[in-house]
Amino acid sequence: MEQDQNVPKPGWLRIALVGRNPKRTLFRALMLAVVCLVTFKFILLPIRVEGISMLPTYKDRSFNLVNRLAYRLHHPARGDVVSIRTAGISLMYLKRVVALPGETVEFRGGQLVVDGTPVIEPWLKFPSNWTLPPRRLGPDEFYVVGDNRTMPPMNHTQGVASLDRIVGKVLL
Amino acid sequence: MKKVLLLLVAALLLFAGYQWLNPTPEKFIRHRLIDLAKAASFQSSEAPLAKLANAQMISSFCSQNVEISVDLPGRQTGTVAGRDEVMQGLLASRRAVSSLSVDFYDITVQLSTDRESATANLTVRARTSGDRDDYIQELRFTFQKIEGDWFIVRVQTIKTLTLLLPLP
Repeated sequence: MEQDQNVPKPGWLRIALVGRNPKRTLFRALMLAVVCLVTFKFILLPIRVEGISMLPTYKDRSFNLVNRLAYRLHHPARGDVVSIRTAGISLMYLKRVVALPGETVEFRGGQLVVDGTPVIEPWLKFPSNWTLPPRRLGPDEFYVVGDNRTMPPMNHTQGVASLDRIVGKVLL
Repeated sequence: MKKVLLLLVAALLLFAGYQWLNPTPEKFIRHRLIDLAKAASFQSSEAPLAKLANAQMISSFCSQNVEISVDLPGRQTGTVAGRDEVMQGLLASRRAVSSLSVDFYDITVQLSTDRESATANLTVRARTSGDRDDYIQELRFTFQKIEGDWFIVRVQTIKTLTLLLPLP
């Protein structure tokens, strides 16, 4: 009992920094680091949106997360915003899926037409006058395009993305 | 115990030194590409001599019969062949824009089975003064070992998103 009284109590700064039990704090910190590493590398990929091609849905320099597990059980659906890898995942394209494998896609005076039927795009807020001839998608091919189609189609990165290039679905 | 530790440290240092002096082809090519990106970048304040030196450095990375094929429908399509044409193109680009920043991302190097050639895939991000958006493009470099050194023999653009041909 006397010995306990002689042991100096840790100061508030030390408690704030390493807790009452430094070993336990270290273990918790390590566990947190592992969980963060696994989560943000393999499950939810943090991204910074750059550029104007997804306006007004995603603003330039906004932050978002990509769910890498989204397409483990099913394929992307029309309207999904997906990230598409380039040579790796350091730089990716952020685009919306507008046509699915096997479908024929075209633009007529700004209107998206899939398999000959006009598709309503509620995410489209800016006017567009794109006219692009019909193209048929192969298996595992998705037609992706941005929400901002105010520029000429040749100045807008769009086209066919194969399934293996789609990294995941944008979360927010 | 102390002697063993010292020996271990010495062995590690020797190994690291050997690795540094004799890099693997993959490492060498990776470093060459990083040097290429640095030399391709320039500021508006770059001196004419530095411009020339950097352009010469880039062309020295290429083989005499290097071929650069650009296939970007709607933007740019064409081929530059030979070291001299590359040099002229580099100097012309330095006159056309006042500054350029080039970065390579996700470099993967794959050696051929005979270890005499290699391909490197990467994404380039280029930014010129005055442009609002960065320019992003996938590239494939083909390297060949010529007289013991690795030279770029071919550069191709890779389409991340392919445009389909219209239906007949």
